[in-house]
Amino acid sequence: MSARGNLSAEGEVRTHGERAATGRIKAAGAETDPRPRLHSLLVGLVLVAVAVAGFVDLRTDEYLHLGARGNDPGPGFLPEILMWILGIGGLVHALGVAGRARRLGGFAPSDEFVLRRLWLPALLILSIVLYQQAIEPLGYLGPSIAFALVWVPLIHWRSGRSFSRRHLVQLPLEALAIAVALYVLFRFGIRVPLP
Amino acid sequence: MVESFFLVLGGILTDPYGLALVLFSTLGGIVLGALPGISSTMALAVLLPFSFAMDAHSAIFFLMGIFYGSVYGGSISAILLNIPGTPGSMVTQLDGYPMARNGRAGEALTFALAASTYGGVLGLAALVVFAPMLASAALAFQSPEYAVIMVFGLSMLAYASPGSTFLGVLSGVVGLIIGTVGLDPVSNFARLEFGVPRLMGGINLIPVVVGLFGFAEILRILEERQVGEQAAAKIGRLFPRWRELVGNVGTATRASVFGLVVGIIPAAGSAVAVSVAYAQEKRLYKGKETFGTGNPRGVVAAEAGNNACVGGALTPMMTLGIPGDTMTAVLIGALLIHGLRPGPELFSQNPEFVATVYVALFLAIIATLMWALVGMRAFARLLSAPPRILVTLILMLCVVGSYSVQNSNFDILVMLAAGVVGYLMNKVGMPTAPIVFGLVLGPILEENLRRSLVVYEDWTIFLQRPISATLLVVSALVLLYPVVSFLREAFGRRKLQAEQR
Repeated sequence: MSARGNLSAEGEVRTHGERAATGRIKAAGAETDPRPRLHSLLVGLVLVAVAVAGFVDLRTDEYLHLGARGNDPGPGFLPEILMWILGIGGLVHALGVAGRARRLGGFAPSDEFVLRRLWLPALLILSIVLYQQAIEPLGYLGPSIAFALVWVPLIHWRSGRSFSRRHLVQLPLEALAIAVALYVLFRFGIRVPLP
Repeated sequence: MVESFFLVLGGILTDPYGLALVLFSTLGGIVLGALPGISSTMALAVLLPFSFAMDAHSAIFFLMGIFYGSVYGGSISAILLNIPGTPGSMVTQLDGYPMARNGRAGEALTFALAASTYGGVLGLAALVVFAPMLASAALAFQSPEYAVIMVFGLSMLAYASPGSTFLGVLSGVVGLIIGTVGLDPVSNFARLEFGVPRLMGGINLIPVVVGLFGFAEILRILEERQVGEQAAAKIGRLFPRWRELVGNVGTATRASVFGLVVGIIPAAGSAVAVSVAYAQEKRLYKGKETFGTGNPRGVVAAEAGNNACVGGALTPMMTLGIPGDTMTAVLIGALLIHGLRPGPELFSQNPEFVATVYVALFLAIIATLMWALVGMRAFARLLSAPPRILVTLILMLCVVGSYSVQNSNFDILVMLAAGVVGYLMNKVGMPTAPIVFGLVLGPILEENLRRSLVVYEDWTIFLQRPISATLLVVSALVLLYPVVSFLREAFGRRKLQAEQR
């Protein structure tokens, strides 16, 4: 369920995600490739885009300047500074990556963003959106049971376990139990007014 | 304070509901921490909504139980499966797993338990001693000091975050920007709401944390087909020889001190604390080549450092309102929901609550010790539980937990967005923890920065006051360090090339 954690040879500590990513890159035999990856360039560009969008929003807000009085630089002051830092930082990062790619002869291949890896996370994101949309009109319980009925078998399959006849009954029962238990716990245990 | 401590302790020990809360939250923390893939932050974030219905005192008992229990629980899978349950236990596996492979899994678990308890108690003692001192010193701080302390906290977290310091800084800036969304804290003008009325009230910390540390991790888990059955090592004999256990007290003490000191540094976190504690112990020990081959000293150093770090991380959180790590960032969010703002005023205005935090940590340590002694073999069996139940449960907890923060469907979308962003950031090697710190520290930074300018009418005020000037210089050095090392490397490379020519 998780990547094996370790202390790197340099004694540097890495997070779960980083170790997982490192492991995957090593598995692909790419650890010897010193070239940067294309997604590193995109990180910088996305940060620049976020900064530009924020900057435009701040500059086109005609009321923000009203908050600046006397020595108070106003409500737009800190966000604007932050947008500048983010924009310039993103640009520096992107230029650094592009420069390194130019020096080393292009970008290294990466297996991080391939369909084989992304389809199930994408399906989960989509089903959470549908689940969220369904909660308001249909109430909590129905959509939750439907969500669990889909995901319990999917995760069972993803965890590499086989299906047998008893799972036809067991998995739906588990899904039902999870959804109902959470409903009872939140609705009656801590009195959250679930729709 | 001593009187308040015993009053709260007496109160909880005679209250069956309170006792049950401590015991079961600690048990929940151990179980979740033991399961691979569930970090302490994730456990705390997804179970946090259960505390909303409680009063602040009960909530802190509940959260502290999960917090401390999960920190210890992480060592179980590290030792038995060679997979750390939490980032803080990643060093435990270096010697814990070889011990398990040598048929000493039970003994390794007991070494881990003894060291955790020892480190936890030392961490608590340091918290009790140093937190009031720091809080009373911090009472003299004015808005310029507070503004600069927030900058200092952010610079430290960028430095301590794993991976690129530069991307860590940018990640912190993203968190600060998210923190500025909605009405500003001084003049109540809305910013960055992009025409979405729900954003006028700002972005709540809890759905963001649940998304970044809960949902993002599930997305990552789903990426690859997982190995079916996890073969946990057999437990064998539980108790090591008494002499061997006592012989590690020096190691536990040294490691606890390192864990504690690193824990106090804002944003450093348990992963850094255990690495420092382990590396130092290895350096000091004569037979250093035995580290990594199943030396109990390695387990003791890692676990003592990891658990002492809890007390350390709580110190800046309670006294200055700066999270020591991501878990204390979640705790700050929880306290804010209960109308309590961590900081020096907490000590002067609400000493009973401070005593409650001490008692909660103390009882969590005792409860962890108790549960582990009774149920160590049962916890080991949990490691082969089917992931489908756990993953689905966590997924639905992410959804319903985010909803329950403000009974709002919008918060589910915030959680989802934060999860997707966290997942993508993990994939590109950008640290996610700074976002949470930025979100916590951003509003305090803005409020104090603007207040300083209004009151002192001078931009140089931050350099005129000794504490703020010192912290500003340290922050600048920390932030410039990667630039300096990059330049040194570049010059070194050029020199080498010139010599080769």
